[in-house]
Amino acid sequence: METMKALAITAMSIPADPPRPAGTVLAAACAGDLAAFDTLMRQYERLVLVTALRLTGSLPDAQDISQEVFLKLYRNLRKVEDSGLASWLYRVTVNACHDQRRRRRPESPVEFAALVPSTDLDPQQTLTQAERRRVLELSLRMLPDKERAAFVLRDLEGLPTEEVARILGSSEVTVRSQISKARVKIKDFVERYFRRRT
Amino acid sequence: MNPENWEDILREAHNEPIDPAHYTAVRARVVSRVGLLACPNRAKPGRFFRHLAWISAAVALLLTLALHRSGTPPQPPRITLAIPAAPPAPITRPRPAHLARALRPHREPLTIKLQTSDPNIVIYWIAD
Repeated sequence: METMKALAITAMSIPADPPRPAGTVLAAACAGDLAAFDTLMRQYERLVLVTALRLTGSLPDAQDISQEVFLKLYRNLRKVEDSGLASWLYRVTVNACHDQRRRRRPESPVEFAALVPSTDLDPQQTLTQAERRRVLELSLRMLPDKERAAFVLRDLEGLPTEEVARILGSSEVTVRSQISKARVKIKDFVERYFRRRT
Repeated sequence: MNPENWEDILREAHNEPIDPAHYTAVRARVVSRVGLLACPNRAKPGRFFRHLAWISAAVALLLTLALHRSGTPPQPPRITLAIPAAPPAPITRPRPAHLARALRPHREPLTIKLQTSDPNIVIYWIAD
């Protein structure tokens, strides 16, 4: 039994692929350093969780998806390029959100409890913040999946259209069209929302 | 809030900070799963028992083969079908030729009469 365990540990410590260039967190995580992988997660956790939250509209779902994405990253550490890691994470997150939405129709109600109200704001500011959040959630919710993903990546995350197209696996023309449609719909929705409120 | 600035409204809402506890929860879940992935025996406890079963079966097979080879050589199959022996031939003394001829029963010789187209010619064939 001890021999088997020793063999298993030896096999785990020998990298199957040629070693990556050292000096990066990704390389350290690749070599089996769990602390480096934790650092990697801290670097990209906002990117993954917030993108998933915008695409699903639910914090528990976004957390599940984040977990899934980081586990996938752990399994594919040797395949992921250091320079393209953010794009890879965006792509995997978007795909995981699509899969999750396909599995879970009809949609669950939108949750607004994800964000923490700042304690140093007065009640009026807090209300405004909550309202802003509500407008964002409802605006995104009324968009079709592809338009929502394009809008979140381009207008909210601020990625260039070319990269958004690469992440979504579409052409730049398609992405521009989707963003344009999404903007028109959101603008119309926000105007109607505030008009009804006043 | 001015709806004219809808892009700013959405961007500000998007950039609002998220409670760090949500990130911590995700990291904790991932780290616990990664720990299981890194240790194959812990990740799948059934795998150890499966390996143990395979090893036991292999050892049992090897032992059986070894015991079988080290023992006495196998006996050849026995023939269970018995062929009955022929009954003993009666022992008789040979008789003298003249006596045997005398004891032989008298038989009429075989006579075949062949008639030809000529009524005056008849052929007899007598076999003894």
